[in-house]
Amino acid sequence: MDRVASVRVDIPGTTESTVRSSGHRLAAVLLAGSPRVALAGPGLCRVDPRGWGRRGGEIALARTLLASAAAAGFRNARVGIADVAIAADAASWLAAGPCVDHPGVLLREEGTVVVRGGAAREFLAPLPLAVLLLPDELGETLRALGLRRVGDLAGRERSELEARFGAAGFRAHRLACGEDDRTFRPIRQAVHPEASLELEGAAETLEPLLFVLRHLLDRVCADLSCSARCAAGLSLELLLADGTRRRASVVPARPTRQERLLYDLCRAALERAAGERGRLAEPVLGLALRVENAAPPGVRQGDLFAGDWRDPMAAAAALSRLQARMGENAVVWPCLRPDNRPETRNAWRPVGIAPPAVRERPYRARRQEPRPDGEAFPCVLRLLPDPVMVRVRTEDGCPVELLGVGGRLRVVAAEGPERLSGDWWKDSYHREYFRVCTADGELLWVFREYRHRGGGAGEGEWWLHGWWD
Amino acid sequence: MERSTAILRLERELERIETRPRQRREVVPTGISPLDKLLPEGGLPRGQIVEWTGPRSSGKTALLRVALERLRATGESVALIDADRTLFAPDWTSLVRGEGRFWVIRPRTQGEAAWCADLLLRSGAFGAVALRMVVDGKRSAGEDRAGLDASLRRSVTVRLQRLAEEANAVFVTVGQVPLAALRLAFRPGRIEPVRNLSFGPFLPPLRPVWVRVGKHGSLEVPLLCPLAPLRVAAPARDRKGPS
Repeated sequence: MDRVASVRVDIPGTTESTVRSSGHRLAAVLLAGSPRVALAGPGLCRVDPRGWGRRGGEIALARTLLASAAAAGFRNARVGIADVAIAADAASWLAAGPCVDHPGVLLREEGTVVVRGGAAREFLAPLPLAVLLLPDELGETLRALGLRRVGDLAGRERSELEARFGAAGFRAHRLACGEDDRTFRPIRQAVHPEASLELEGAAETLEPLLFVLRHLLDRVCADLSCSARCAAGLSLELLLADGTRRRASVVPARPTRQERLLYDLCRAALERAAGERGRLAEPVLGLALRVENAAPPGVRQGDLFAGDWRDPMAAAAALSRLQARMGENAVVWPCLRPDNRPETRNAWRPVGIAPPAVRERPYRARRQEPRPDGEAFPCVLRLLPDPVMVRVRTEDGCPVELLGVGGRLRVVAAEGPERLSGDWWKDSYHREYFRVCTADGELLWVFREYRHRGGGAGEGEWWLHGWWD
Repeated sequence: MERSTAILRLERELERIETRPRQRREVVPTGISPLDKLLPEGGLPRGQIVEWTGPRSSGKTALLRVALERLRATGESVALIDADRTLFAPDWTSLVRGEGRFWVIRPRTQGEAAWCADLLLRSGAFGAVALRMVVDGKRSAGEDRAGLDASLRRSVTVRLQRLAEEANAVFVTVGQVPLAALRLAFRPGRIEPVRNLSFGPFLPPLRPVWVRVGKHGSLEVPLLCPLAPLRVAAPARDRKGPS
C-alpha cells in the first residue's frame, strides 16, 4: 500500500468497552470513504486511500471522512495522510493544532494534514517523541538522555540504540526514520467472497471456462487472504445458454486458500460436469464462484530446525486431489457401526473437513515403549466385498472340505456355528458362520445361508466371506 | 549498507544449519522387537520400497497394522491404499483415534492405486505409505478377481522408488514388485489341532507365522488364533461371599 490515511476522533468515556465499541462504530462510518478500514487504537482508524485519484484525490477523501465522522456524531475529527502509518498518525495529531508552517506538509486545511510523498522522515523530525508512542520506560530514558524531538532520535546510530535498548530501541529508531512496516489489517467485510464473469460468447468446451476460473479464483483467494480466512466450501455456478443455472459444490479436505489446490478441485468438478473430450453438454455463458463456508486457517506450528517436519496442508491438498478424482468415498476413515451383519459393520466414512476454529497444537510424539519379546498380535480379518460361493463337504453339519476356492482344501479344525440372523422386516438373512483352518494353515470364514429361518440340515448355500491374515 | 545485528546473528545461525548435514532417521522401528532385531539397522528403511509377500493367512496384514500403528504413534502421517478393498473397518478404528493421522485410500482399480501412491509420496507430507495391491498369494478368492494384475510395472516402481526417496518416507507394498530394496516373505507356521473327544479338534490359542527378511534370516512371530475356543480364564467369584 503506497499511502495511508489516519482518522482520529475524541472518544467520550474511558472504559475499555466504550473505547472498543466507539472504535468499531467509527470504522463502520469510515467505510463510506474506503472499503478497507483498520482499527489502530483508541479513537484512531486507518483507511486505505487508493481509488480516490479520479474522485478528487486525497483531499476529497479527507473531506468525505470528516463529513462522515461528523454526521455520526464524532467530535473533533481530523485526518492525516502520508506514506507510512506512523507519519499519518502524527499528521492526524498535528491537524488538531494551529496552522503553522511545518516541513514536509503538502496540503493543510481545517482538520486535515497531507504529508508530501517521500517526506515522512522530514515531517516527523520536529515533532515531539510522544508521537511515536514509545514504551514508558524507553521514552523516559530517551528524555533523560536529552532527546526531545523525533529528529534527535533519528540522528542517532541504529546499531547503538539496538545494542543499548534491544528490539525496542531498534523499532523506535525505525519509526523515527519514517520506516513503518506494520501490516494493514482491514476489518472483515466479505465473509463469503464471490466473483463472477460473463463470457463474451457461449463456451462449448472446458478450456475457456478454465481460463475464467483461474481469474475468478485469483480474486476470491485475494479476498480470503485480506480477511485472514480460508475456504471450507465453494459453490461453482454455470450460467447456461438456455437461461438455467447448474451448480456444483467443491469441498476441500481442510480449509484452504491455496489457489492452485482450489483450481484443481474446481477443475475436477467442471470435468465431471463435462462429457467426453471436454465438451460441455450445454453452452455456458458465464461462471460464478462463491465461498459458501469460510473458516479460519487450521495451522500447525512448524519447526525451522526439524529436518523431517511434514506440512499437514500438503497432506490435505493431496487427499483433496484424491477425492476430487475418485469421489468422496475414496479417502475414508474406518468407523464402528452397531450391526450384526458383517458387511454392514464394515463401515467407512469419508474424510471430512477438519473442525473449524481449532488451532492445532504442536504434536508431541508419545514415548513408545518397546513391546515385549514373544508378544502375540491379533489377526486381522479381511472381508470380501462380495462373498464367493463355495462347495463344502460336511460331516455332522461341520465343514470338512472346501471346493472352489482355488482347489480342494482339507479342513483340519472348525469353530462354529455362530448363528446370525436379522432384518426380517426388509432383507432378512439367516446364516451360520464357521471359522475353519485348512491343512495349508489358511484361516477362512465361511457361512451357510438359509433361505428360511431354522432351515434343516443340507439346506442352504455355502459362501466364503473372508479370511484372517 | 547498515544491517541489524539481530539479522546478522540470524544469518550466521542459518549458515550453520545449512552446512550441518541434515540428520535423517534412516529406519523406523516396526514395534515388533524380534523383527526389528532381524531387520538391517533395526527397522523399516525410509526412502526405499519394502515388499511384503506371502500367501493368505500368513500374517502380513496383522503385522502391517502393528507397524503402521507404531508409525502413527510417533507422529507420522500414515496412508494405507487398499486396492483390493478387503480391509475390515472395525479392525482399523484404533488407528484413527486422537489426532487422526491415518487415512485409508480405496481406489477403484489397480492403476488408480499406483497413481494414489504417486500422489501421496509426491506431496511429501506422509511419513509412511502402504500399498495393498492384490488379493493374496497363489489363490484368487473369486474368479472375477483373478484378472487383477499382481505386480506393478518396472517403470512405475522406479518412479515410486524415487518419490519415496525424495519424501524420505517408508513405502511398503503388500504384493510383489520389482526392484524392492527389502523383501519380507511371510509364511503361516504349522499348527497342530488339539484332539478332544468331547468337542472335536480345536486349535491352540496361538499360531506362529514365519517371516523371512531377505537374506538376513527368518523368525517366528506368534499371532492370536481367531479359531481358539473361548475359555473362562478364572472361575467366577461368588457374589454372596464365603459361606
